[in-house]
Amino acid sequence: MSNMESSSSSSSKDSVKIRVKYGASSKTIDATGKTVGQVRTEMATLLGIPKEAKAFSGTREVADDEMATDGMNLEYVKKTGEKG
Amino acid sequence: MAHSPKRVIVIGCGGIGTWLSHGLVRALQFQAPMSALILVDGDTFQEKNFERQAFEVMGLKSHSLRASLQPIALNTFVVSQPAWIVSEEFVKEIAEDDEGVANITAESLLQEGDYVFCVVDNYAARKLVFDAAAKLNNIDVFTGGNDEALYGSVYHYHRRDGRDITSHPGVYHDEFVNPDDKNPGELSCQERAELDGGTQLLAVNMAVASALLAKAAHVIFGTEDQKAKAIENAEIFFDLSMCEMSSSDRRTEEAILPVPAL
Repeated sequence: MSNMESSSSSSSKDSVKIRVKYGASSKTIDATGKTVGQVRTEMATLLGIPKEAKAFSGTREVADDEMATDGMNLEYVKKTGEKG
Repeated sequence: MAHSPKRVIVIGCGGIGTWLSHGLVRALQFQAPMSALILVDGDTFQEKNFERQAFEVMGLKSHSLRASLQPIALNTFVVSQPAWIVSEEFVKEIAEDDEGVANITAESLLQEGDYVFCVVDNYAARKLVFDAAAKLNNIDVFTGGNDEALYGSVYHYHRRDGRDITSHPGVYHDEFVNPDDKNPGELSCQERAELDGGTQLLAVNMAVASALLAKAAHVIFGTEDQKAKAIENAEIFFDLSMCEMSSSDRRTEEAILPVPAL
C-alpha cells in the first residue's frame, strides 16, 4: 500500500497508476485510459493471468469494461492450490 | 498462559496434513493442554507416500498418523476418524465404501467453535466443508493446497455470531462453487486407485503446512492484534520458485466498515 501511495502522489495529474496482483506476484503500472480487460490482456504474459480469472478491487468484483482508476488495487484472483 | 482446550480437526492426512498435524499437536500440547486433535481421512498409506508424507506404518491414514503423534501428545487427545467427507445425498445412498470406511457429511463432523484444517486433495470435498461451516455461527476453517510445481495457497474462512467476517472462498474462487474435480469419497475403490496423485514436491507440501501453522499461531494462540492481522490477510499465495509471497484481504464489506455511532 505504501508503494502505491507514493507512486500515486508522484504521478502527473491525469495519469492512472494502479497495482495489479495475481497470486504471489504484483506490479505497479501506468493504466491511463485503460479498462480492466485491457490491463488483463497486457499483463497476461508477464503475470500469467488467464482469461477466466475474476477481477476484484477490494471487496468489489469489477467487470472487464470498467475503467482503471488512480490508486486502484486490482487483483485477478488466482486459482487456489488443489493438491495436498 | 495456557489457552482453554480447543477442538481442532484436520481433514486429509496426506502430503500437507501429516506435516501440519505434527505441528498442531506440539502447539496444542504446550499452548492449549487437554485439547482434541481429530484426524479425518478415509484413505490408506502406500509405500510411495513415504516420499513426502510423515508417517511410520502402513494402514488407514488417520490411524497411522495418530500412532505417530501419540508419543508426543501427552495431554492432547488425538482422535482417529477414518472417514470420507461426502454429500448428504451420497451418504443416504451409501453409508460406507467397499472397504468398510464410513461416509460422513461435513455437517455431522463440524461443531460450533471448531478450528478446521481442510487439506484434502480436491475442491469437491473442500466445498462440502466450507458449505457446512457456513451454517454454523462461530467457526474457523483453513484450507491449503499446492500445484505440482512450487505454487501454493492458503485460505482462512472466519465466522462469528452467524456472520462471515472473511468471505466464503466461493466469493472469490469458482472452484469452491463448481468444483471441476472428483471427490474421492464418492468414487469406488477401483476408481480411486485410478486417480492420478500427480508429482507433488515435499518442499511445497511443507510450505503450505507451515503457512497453515502460522495461521494457527495467530488465530488460535495469538494476541488480539495478531488475530486481527491474520483475519485481514485471510488468503496467502506463494511461489517458492520465484521467492514470492503475498496476502489478500478477504474480509466482507460489512466486516471492514466501521460500526456507526448510535
